[in-house]
Amino acid sequence: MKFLRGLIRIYYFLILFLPGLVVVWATLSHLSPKILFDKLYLSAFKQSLLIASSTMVTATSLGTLCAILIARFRFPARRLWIVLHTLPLFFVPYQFALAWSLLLPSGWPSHLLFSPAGVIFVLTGNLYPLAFWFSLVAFVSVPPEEEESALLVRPPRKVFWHITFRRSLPYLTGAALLIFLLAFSEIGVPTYLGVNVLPGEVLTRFAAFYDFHGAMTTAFPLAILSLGLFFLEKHLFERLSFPGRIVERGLVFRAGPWQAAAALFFLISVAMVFLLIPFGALGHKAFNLESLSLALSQGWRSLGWSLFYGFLAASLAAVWSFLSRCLIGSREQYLLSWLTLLNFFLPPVILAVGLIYFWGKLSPWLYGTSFLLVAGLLARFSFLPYQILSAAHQNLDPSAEEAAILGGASRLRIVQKILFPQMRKWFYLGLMLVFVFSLNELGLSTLLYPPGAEPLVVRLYTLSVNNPLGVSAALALMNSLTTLGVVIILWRKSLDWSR
Amino acid sequence: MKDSIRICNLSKGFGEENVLRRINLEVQAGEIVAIIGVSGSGKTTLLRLVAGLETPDQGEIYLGERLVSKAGEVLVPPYQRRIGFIFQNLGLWEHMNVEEHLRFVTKDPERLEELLAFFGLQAHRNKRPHQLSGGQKQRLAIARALAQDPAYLLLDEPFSNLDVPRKKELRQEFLRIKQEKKPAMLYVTHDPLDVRLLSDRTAVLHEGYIVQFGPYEELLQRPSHPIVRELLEI
Repeated sequence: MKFLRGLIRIYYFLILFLPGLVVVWATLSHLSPKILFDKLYLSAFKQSLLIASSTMVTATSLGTLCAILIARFRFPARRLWIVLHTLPLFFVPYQFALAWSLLLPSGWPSHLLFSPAGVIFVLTGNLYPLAFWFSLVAFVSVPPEEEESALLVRPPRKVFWHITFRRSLPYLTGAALLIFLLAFSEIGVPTYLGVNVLPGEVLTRFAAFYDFHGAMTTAFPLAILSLGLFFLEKHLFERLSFPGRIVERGLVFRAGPWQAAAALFFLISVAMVFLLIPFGALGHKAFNLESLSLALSQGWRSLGWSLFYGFLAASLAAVWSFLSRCLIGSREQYLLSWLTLLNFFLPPVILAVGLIYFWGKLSPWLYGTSFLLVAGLLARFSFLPYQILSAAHQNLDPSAEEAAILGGASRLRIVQKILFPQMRKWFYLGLMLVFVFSLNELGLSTLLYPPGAEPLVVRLYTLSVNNPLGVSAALALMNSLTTLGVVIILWRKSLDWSR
Repeated sequence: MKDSIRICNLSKGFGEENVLRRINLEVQAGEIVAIIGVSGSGKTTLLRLVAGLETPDQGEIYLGERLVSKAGEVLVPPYQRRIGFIFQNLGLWEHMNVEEHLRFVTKDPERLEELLAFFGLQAHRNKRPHQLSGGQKQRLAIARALAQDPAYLLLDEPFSNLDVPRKKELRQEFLRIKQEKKPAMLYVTHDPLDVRLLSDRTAVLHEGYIVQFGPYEELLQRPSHPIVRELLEI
């Protein structure tokens, strides 16, 4: 048991704590204020702020509206709507940019796409599922009795604004902040659409000019902003609870036929614009023998590497999160909760630069191996299984564990026979999320993949710049179908295992 | 008829399960009717149907002269029924303080002050539910239910989480409300003592049916079903 606890501590010290510390130290110690007042830099900074804040507003509004319609109206096929409005989150955002560039005719629509407005549009489509899920959870978290007691004195619309919406505000704010941060640190979409943003500046300075000091200085405002948002989000997250049910009681709007038709039209339109049409465009362009065979010949090795990195990172993150939750004391749990979230909040480009710097100094022989990318994925995504398993563990009845202790079972046996069977479903959910997000992580992968072993997400990105569009479309589809396959298999398995 | 609750031939099911079957019941203004039954016998569902929070499968509900619900339809929405409902877990609004709770229901500042004074909540007007004691929360729930001067009061085990002295105090409170405001009150309880001390008449629900309905003494002397004996601990 001591050995296991020791391993867990080494893991979080080396993967979560030290690289993050190095990032902060390197950023502060290499500040060069001259760069910060450079015109190009300031324009990239302003552009990033504009894109992130606009995406935050549009994606949060869109996601919340979809959640209201699904949670508070009794429409048929609710599960289907939930799936349709979740899926865009699981795909690489710049493949939507690619799809829309295939669809839009040249002229002003195309110019609009290759501008900050286009970036906002594509990122909105990719990130609104986050707001959708946060809102959905918020609406089902309001105890039905609170809404019902208000329904006795006020009409449903007022009850929604005064009770449901006000009670959901922490969740909506949480979603908005998260969307802002992800949009702010996004690199693939703006770079593909030719819009200069701050993470792009960091990447260019580091990867193109090998200017570590310049990269870290450029990263400074990004890191400060991320840290500020992190503290806000941490404060908010502590107030949220995540129940696992969809409410059948409480406030339900009864829509007339026209209202119902309009609402359904809206839900379908959003799914069409942000999921079905882009995929249709990719499919249409990709489905010819030449493109498919070229994509397969150029992409299959990368696909293998993607699955390898994803699987390794997901398994390690899930096992580590589960063991730390079950074996580590509550003070350390608190620290871990902070560390995992902090690492997630660091923009991937900064995290990658920090990891290269840290591991390059500590053990240069690790540089250029798969370890660095897996370590990056672990640092970025450990927060997902950790937070999920923490919530699951907190919801368990402690008497089950106490009964086993009184029965004389060892800690390891309790973990194996009592805790794991009860948390298995959440374990696989965490594993699935890390797997899927690892498959689509571009910022870390671009900087950390070992030579000759590039994951599909990087391959697609580099090929989409100078390859025939049909091949890029086929590669994008290959990536999406892999993601979808992983989601379906692990989701079904997690349901089977939870029975 | 004025301000009475009249339930005619009411049935309600959820999926395959029939929770209430052909219920007939009348509560006069100023009368307290207790509803007793084992867990899952449909007591809470009956209150929710009267409040308009559920739709009946069959039958009608009248509030006064007005038909408010019929099979498959809620004709009068809950907020137009003049109903005060005290939920079992109170349903207080966690994001509002005591004063905001009452202001959400009544716009009249005098009425608000009167309620705060009546329920001893003046000193706690700026507190949110999690800052109140169990008894204060209970009083806030009652104050909120009374704030709109309801003609009908529905109480779903309002004493279930209280200690004996607090229960005693609140029973007195309800008797005072009955005397002064004369609402028609439907009162769900498990406690035979509540039935004895508070109710004018009692309905015993069992497997979805009302198996006996009458004054407490009648139930005590001539129980028509073994479940009545069990519930009243005869």
